[in-house]
Amino acid sequence: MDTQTPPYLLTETEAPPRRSWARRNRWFIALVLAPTALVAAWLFLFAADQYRSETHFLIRSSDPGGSGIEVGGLAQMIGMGGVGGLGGGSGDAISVADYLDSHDAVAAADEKLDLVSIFRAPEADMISRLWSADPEAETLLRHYRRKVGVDYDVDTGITTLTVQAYRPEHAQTLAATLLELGEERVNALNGARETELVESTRARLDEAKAELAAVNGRMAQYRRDERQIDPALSGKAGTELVAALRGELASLRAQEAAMAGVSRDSPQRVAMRRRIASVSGAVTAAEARLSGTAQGAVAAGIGIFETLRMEQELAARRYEMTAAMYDKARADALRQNLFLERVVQPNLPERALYPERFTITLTLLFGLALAYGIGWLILAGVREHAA
Amino acid sequence: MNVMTLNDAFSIQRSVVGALIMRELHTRYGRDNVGYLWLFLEPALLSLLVALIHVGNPNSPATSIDPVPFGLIGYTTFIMFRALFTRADAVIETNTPLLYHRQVTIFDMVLARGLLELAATIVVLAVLLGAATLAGAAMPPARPLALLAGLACLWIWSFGLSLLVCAATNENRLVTKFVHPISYILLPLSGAFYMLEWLPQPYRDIMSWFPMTQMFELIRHGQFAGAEATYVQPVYLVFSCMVVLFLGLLAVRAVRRHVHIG
Repeated sequence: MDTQTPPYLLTETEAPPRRSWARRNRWFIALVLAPTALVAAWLFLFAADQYRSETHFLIRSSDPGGSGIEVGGLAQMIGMGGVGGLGGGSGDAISVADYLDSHDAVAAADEKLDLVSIFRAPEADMISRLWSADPEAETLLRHYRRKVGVDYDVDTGITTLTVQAYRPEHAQTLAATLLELGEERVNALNGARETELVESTRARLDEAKAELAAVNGRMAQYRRDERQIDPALSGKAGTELVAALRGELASLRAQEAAMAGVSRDSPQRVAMRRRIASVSGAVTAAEARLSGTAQGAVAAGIGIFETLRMEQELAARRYEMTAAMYDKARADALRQNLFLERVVQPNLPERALYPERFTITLTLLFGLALAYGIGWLILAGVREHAA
Repeated sequence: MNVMTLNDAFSIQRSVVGALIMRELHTRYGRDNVGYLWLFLEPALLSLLVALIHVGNPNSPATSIDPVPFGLIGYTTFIMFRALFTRADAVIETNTPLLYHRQVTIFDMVLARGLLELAATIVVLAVLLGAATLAGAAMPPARPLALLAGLACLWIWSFGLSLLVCAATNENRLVTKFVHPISYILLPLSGAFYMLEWLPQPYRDIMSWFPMTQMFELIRHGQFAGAEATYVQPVYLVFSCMVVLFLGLLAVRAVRRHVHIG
């Protein structure tokens, strides 16, 4: 950093035995060049190659109307100033991305793949690999987050999953496994939604079904006990019978009255009187069955029967309604089912792009040089006070 | 011997800056104690108003982000920036007689102001946040270290800018005319009173490249448990602060000779 050395210093050093460049800039070398060289040496000579596999996926529902990719612009403009503008579909997409970044996914992936052996592959260098051979869940999660990136893009709805590993096939397998885990999670979400939507209506359907069965049972019981199918019908038949009998009785009485001239004891009048007596007995019996209090009397039964029939009708209508609701809920659940759509399959990396050796080295160099410059300027300012 | 003189120079500078801070305190707030009260009253009043506006807002942010501390933090930290940025132009002008003393440098004068503003901001923030917490309108900071880191970034940024402004106005008085308009434009651009999360997408990413938005995000990340630091890129943030500070120091050093000669 010769440019930062004040000009008067340069002219001064012209005359005396010229000190070497290294001596004059020893602080710059010690604080900037040496650390950068050290880190660069590590990165270029020892740091293990890391391969990155990348996959993109999309969470969408079969419902064409809402959610999915369309959430972007307008919904968010409206949501501005509030808490996000997220539709249902992107909420689900975020939940999958969130899951893939969680201890839950780490545990599931570890069960399937043995993450420790991937993160501690023999090729790995000492610094970037997983340090512990038998890590606690938290340590494993921290390392996992360093190697696996989950990035959800609100605009496109695409989630980008990147996996870094020391072998190309490890990166690809881990990415594929994580995709599968994501799919399983989507299915679990679907299942949960289905139970949530369908279960409540199913419970109501079962209730309605049981009620209808109970009413039908009571109706059957009533019919068995009363020995009639429909008291209204039997009532009508009884009334007609009574009317017919009364008509017959009246005509018989008229005939008897017409026989007034005949001797009271003539066999004709005796036979007529017997007929009148039996018909009037039949009328009394029929009337008693219609309105009396005896077992099987129509008038007593018809009230109970009407109530039962109304209950039966209500229960049947309720059953129909809940059945329709249940069908609709199932159709809704099916329509809102989510799918994990693979946009980009996990690739098998061929070239190791990580660690980003040049980027890290340059960042460090510039950062240290800046810090050195600031420090030099401040120190120079301090020195002014002693002048 | 070299170390000795550096130590001596440092202790001289320390006492110079200390004396400048005392001088600044007296000139700004007077000798009566009521003067200091305005230090608290001004931000308290304004953050209360901001908080009131947010209370009435049906779209008020998520539950864990309370409007009162939101306004409080945004306002107190932003006026620290504004005080450093907009008052920097007067530093040399008001203190020219002091420059006859060889021990007093422009850097010392700007640093004295910067330290005073920083101390005032921290005290005011602590007192008002404490009061709001006691009143039940706020929670204590969820991540105090992140809050301090954000404040430190903002201070370094403001300090570097004030060095730049101070040097620039000394070269050309016309710069003064631009300082205030710029500070007003920065009020909405800085992200002091909104979260990046609330912006629609294309603008959110663009705004997140402006370092001040990241500083305020970091400060809020420190205060609110529910505020994620999604848009804070530590390397970028530190770099931008360092670049501004470096340029500021360089500018003041370049100008120093002009003042001496003049």
